[in-house]
Amino acid sequence: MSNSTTPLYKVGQIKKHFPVLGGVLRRTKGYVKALDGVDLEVFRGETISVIGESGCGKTTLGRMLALLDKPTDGELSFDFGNGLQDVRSLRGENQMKFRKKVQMIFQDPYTSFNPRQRVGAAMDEVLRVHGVKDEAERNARILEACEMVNIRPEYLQRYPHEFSGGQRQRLAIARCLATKPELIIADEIVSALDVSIQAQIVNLLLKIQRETGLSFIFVTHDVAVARYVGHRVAVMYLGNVVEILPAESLPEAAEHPYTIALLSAVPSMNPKAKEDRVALQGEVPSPIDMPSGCAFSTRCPSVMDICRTERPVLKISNISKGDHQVACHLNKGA
Amino acid sequence: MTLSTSKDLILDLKKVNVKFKVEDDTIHILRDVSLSLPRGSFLCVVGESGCGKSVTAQAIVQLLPDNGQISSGEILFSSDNNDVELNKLEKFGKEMRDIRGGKIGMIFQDTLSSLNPAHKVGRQVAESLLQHFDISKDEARTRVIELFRKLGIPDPERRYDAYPHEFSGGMRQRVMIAIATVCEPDLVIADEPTTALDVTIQAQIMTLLKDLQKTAGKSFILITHNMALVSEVADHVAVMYLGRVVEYGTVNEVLRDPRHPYTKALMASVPTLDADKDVELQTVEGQTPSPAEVTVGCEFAGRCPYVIDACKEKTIEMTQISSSHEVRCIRLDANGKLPVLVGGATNE
Repeated sequence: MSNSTTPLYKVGQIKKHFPVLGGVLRRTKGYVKALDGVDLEVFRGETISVIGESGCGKTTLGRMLALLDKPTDGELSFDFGNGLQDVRSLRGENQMKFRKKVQMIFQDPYTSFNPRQRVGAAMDEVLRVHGVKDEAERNARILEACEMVNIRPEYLQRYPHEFSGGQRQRLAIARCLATKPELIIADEIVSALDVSIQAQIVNLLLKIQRETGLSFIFVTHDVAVARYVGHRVAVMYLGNVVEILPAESLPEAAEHPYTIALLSAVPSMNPKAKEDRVALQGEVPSPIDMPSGCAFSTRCPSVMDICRTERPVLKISNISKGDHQVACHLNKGA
Repeated sequence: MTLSTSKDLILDLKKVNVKFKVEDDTIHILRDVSLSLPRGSFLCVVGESGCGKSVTAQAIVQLLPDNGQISSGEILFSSDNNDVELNKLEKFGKEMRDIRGGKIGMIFQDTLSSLNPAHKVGRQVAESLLQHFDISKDEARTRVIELFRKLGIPDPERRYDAYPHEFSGGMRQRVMIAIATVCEPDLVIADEPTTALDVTIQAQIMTLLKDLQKTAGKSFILITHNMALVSEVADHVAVMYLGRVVEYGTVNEVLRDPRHPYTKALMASVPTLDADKDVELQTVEGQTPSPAEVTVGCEFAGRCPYVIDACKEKTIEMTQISSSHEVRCIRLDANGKLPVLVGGATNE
């Protein structure tokens, strides 16, 4: 979907290191490298699915993109309409302008609403904070957003506990849409829902995107949903993006040994998938003491000597080229 | 009352009803649940939240919450050529305690809250052994370490003395499997054991359970909502909706050729890795009603695209469509097929 040449949002070598404190004096003993140099470009109208296992940094990446956490190092630039502009230094009103353009939806719809506030009031508050002063306009925007997510306007007078999980997640989406954002970061928004409700939300997101041309970052651990929702899929492992590829080329085109192993671990209705399974040995190493070289080298079935010493960088795949990038020494680059 | 008359069944549930008292109301949670499990087979119970799959597991081992009660039905369990009616046993009586943990092992989803954080994991596994067998502590330790090794826990001698928080989620689930299997039970009930785990770890754990079934001949009941997982491990599948089993059969019958409208919808709503991205996911209109709302007729009638008036009038009985495949739906024709939907009646 990279039809336009300049990205809406550019992330360059972003790092987030959380200090690990220890001892009586609470001195810094080391760092958890939650993100260790991630590059990503989000284009207009594009959905990027970010997948990976727990602890790989996918949620931290989402929070970083929404400026909910400050990165330790790296570049974050957003296009407000006149070219890419650094957003890390934004303060006050300018930062609010950014927050209006980039909204986030969280996993747990039970905790993302105030239980003592009517949902309509919660949505109204967001718009007031973002400077929509005219009440009639606020109401019109809320109604429009509710219509997009199929929530009846009379429901706005209700409290969050009166809704089911799926409805609450739709309200969270509506609250986001009301500010007319350009990018929505959705962090595991369907993980807590039953499959039949999950399908409703997934269909809804795709419909919203078709109608509004918004960009989405869709963070999930479910590979099949990621492939279905996204235009491109970014695979993360231990704070790094190891592969980015067009979603429809999955699972066949996957090249990184980790992506291949992850895909093959997904249970499948197809009996053949089980026979071809690559069983990964061991567990994800701790992000406090990362292996030197490639982070995956300790579990990789095709590990070579160079992998243990030198960290591979994202390069265009020498097999499928184009939109497909892999960070692996097996990939020689195009 | 013998189970071994026709087939060698290890567990047979006959029209089990469970009711919960909530304030002044009684809510009917399990409705005539009948399930039979041949010895050595792997049964998966699938359904969405609130369908009663966990309550079924709790009813079998008599661990229902205090406000829940088996109101009618029989739960027969057969072990050592001896049939017992579990529902007749006293909840915390000696017989039930011997069966629970001894003959029937249990694995739960949330490992962090099922393990005691203040005790070493090895001791928690050994506790079960010491409870059910007359052996020394040293012998128990040896047997637990041996089992840890078999379950792929690295460095078992040292890990015996570790605390739960020192283990990762996957390793803790292995410890739970150790607790469930250390007494060599005949039947293991696993309630969503891998839901909280990553897929690569899930694959390791499921391989482990499948090996236990194949090599040690144990029977399994796996409770899950993941259809793809079911298709990989199950021999038999029971699909539940709002407290009732709506379809039951072998894995091939239920997953490759689902007949109940709910099973069909459930299968079509999950995206797969080879799904066509241009085809919209099928959804089930509305949401699962509360068990108090539906009292007569088919529980799925309110959301079913095939619904007719007769569906809402009386309780729907199971229809046998092959020797092993049963479906609870009156819209099936003589060949066990659903009618073809004509325009507009589909779920949109």
